[in-house]
Amino acid sequence: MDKLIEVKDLTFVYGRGTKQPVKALKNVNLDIMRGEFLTILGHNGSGKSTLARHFNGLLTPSKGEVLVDGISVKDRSKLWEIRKRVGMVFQNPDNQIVSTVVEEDVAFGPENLGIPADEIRQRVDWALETLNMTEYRREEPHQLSGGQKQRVAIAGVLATRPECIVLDEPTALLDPIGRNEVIEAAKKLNRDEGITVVLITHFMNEAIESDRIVVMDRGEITLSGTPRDIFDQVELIRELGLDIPMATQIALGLRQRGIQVADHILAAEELVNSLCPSS
Amino acid sequence: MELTKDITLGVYIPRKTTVHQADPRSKILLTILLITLLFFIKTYTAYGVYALFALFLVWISQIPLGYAVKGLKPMIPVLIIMWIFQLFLQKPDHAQVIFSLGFLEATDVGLRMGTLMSIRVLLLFLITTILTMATSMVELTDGIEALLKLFRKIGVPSHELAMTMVIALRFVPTLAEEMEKIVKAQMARGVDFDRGNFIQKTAKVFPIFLPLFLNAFKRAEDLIIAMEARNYTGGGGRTKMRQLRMGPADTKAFAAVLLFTLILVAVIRLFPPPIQI
Amino acid sequence: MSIIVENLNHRYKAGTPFEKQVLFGINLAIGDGEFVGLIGPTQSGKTTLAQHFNGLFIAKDGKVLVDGKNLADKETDIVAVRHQVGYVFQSPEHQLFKETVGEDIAFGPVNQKCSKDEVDHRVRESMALVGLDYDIFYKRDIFALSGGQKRRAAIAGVLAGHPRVLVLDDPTAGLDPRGREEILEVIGRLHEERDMTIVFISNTMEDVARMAKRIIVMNEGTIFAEGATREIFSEWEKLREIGLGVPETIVIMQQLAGRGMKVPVDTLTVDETVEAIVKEMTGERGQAQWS
Repeated sequence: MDKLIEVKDLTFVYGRGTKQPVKALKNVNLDIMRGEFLTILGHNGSGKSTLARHFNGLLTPSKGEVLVDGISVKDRSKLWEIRKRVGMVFQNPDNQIVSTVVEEDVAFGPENLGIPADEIRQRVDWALETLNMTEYRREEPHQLSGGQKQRVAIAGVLATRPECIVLDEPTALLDPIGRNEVIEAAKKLNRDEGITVVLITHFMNEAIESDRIVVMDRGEITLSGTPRDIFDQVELIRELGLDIPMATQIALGLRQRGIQVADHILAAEELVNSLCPSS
Repeated sequence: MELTKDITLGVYIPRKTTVHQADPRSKILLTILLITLLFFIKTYTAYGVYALFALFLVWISQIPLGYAVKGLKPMIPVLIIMWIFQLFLQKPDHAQVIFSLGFLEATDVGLRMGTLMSIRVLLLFLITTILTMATSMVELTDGIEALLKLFRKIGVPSHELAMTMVIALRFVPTLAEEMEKIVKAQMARGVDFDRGNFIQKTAKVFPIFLPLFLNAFKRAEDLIIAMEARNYTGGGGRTKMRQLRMGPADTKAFAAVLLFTLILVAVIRLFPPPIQI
Repeated sequence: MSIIVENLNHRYKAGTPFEKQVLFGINLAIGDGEFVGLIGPTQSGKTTLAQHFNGLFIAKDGKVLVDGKNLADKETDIVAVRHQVGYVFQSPEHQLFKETVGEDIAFGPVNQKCSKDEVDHRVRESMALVGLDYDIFYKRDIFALSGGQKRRAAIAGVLAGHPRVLVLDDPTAGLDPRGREEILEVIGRLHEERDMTIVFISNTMEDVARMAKRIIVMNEGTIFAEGATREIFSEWEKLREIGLGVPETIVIMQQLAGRGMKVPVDTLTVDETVEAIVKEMTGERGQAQWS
């Protein structure tokens, strides 16, 4: 796997030149591999959104460098190229949908790229199909559930055929069904379409199936590793104001009471298999 | 408590009628034509014919008449004030005084002008409502953008205007819901919007707008970022998925309006106004 | 303070082409001092139902009685009822409209025409209840607050009306784990220490399982199920059918039981689950409550 996004010594300061500049990112280094599913965790204000907004040049580094496919986000003339490669979905689905009809909204991105009408049509149909939203294509977005709206937003990004999709807390405002729909969609894009996915969240159970987790705190990357590596550090995770998957907590409780449980338990299935191996 | 219920502006009623299927450009042009016609009408007879045609349009486009008329309700006080103004202020030399209230004199010309004007506004509203209820927002803005393109050469930013309109319309339901929530939140904390006189009631409305505007700005900011992230840089170099096409529905629409125009002109010629206004 | 709903129907956008019935023959009773969880899929009618409890919707078809008073009666002082039944909206921080925290919290009592001292007393009290320090936050600009703080300020604003019942519509949505913990702690305290009746609408099943004693499940405008929290969640298959999740503890226990382990399938917290598994695995079998 080669590097799709390289973050080198990135520092970002909000309100530079004002009385109270805030250093939101401090010397962050991170490589995102092509085809990877990366989750960024961290509580509110830890800098995870700020970091993500460098990936498609919505923000420009105060210091350091961010390269997308080798192109520097500092080169404002190349923004077009960068945004074609990295799409982004935001927290509030209501604030990112442009049109009053689902398929028109999905077409918005490709239309901006100046693609011919019939190819846009194909891409829109394909994107809606991939996100299981075809039956809603003529609906008004504001009539849809939160999970459906977010899938429209993802379809809108997918239709531009990006290499990477960054999802910035896409499930924070959704109910459990909606959350599940969105996460499943993200996994599917990563698995079936080979799209690099960067998921920002504070729901731990959404993180456990990713390839790698990065934990942020006060503008710095404090932990990085596989989900197992990360959640083994229970105390540290708690200190950072984050949750631990329930199965991991139960496994920990059992171990403390002297019951043999396998290491690195993250999901319900794993705990059950460890306690009661199926025949 | 449902605020969004009475807003008929910008509400689209999806049906599969000829009116719905016609190209938005035809519909916009024909609506403009119909509105223009309104200003040439000076008799009740002609207005009667016009009203019949409007009702015909309501009927064939399968719009519930009661619902279409509902949106008129908030305009009634304005119409009454306008009517009173006309009644007392129209005083050409040939006018005859019907009655007087102190120094105010109501004339027959005033009465007629006031009444005709009210009918005109009502019909104008009805015609526009038919257009918006039978045309989706996307079609409407596509149509407007296509028509405005004709003026592009003289510097009319057709794409930008249309885009602004799409977004404004897209946020109408969102903001209406939000306003409902804010009103309810204040009711829940003891504001009684039903009590008090006009001034007291108006004063209670102000605190709604602060959070509403703040939220609207926040939304706008988010939207700008989201659009930028989707490579939006204005109209240049943009293509469109939907292409507008004229069809049989348009032929029918033009034919119907043309026929109506001829009949109306005939009626205007045959039944001149009884008094000069 | 009790809430009784009898045969309630509600039509959304009545009299327009978009009319849609959203509540069908709802009957329920919430007793004084209860902690009730109200759950259900999106658009199942939870919020519409709850907004009938304090007269934000007045029943046109059916009855809603608060403390025995019919809210549709002309004699009922609806403004007083709204103070007694406090309602915290979803994302309440979006409805704050005064400039400072103190002013916003004072809004309810000022509307109630409380004396200046009383207003001040209530603001202090409410701020203490939600854990916002009076000296630090009273004059603080609303914009200078974090998401969690804003939400606590919004709850304080409702508490300042001195409600006996508190309806909370998804109070933890969109907060990070730390913010969520703070809010849940506040709600628990109001129930325990102030004996407030709580109606807790939530999409997070773990929160409902932990907080509510009784649960009402809504689906498609009707009451789908109703009962003690444990009972409701042990019927996880039915909840799944209407698209609701169950706490992970129950999923785990269910699977263990499916593999022949004799554990109860209705544990709601991590500690309870650990305890039950320990009991089973160390052979204290006879003492399991379900046997």
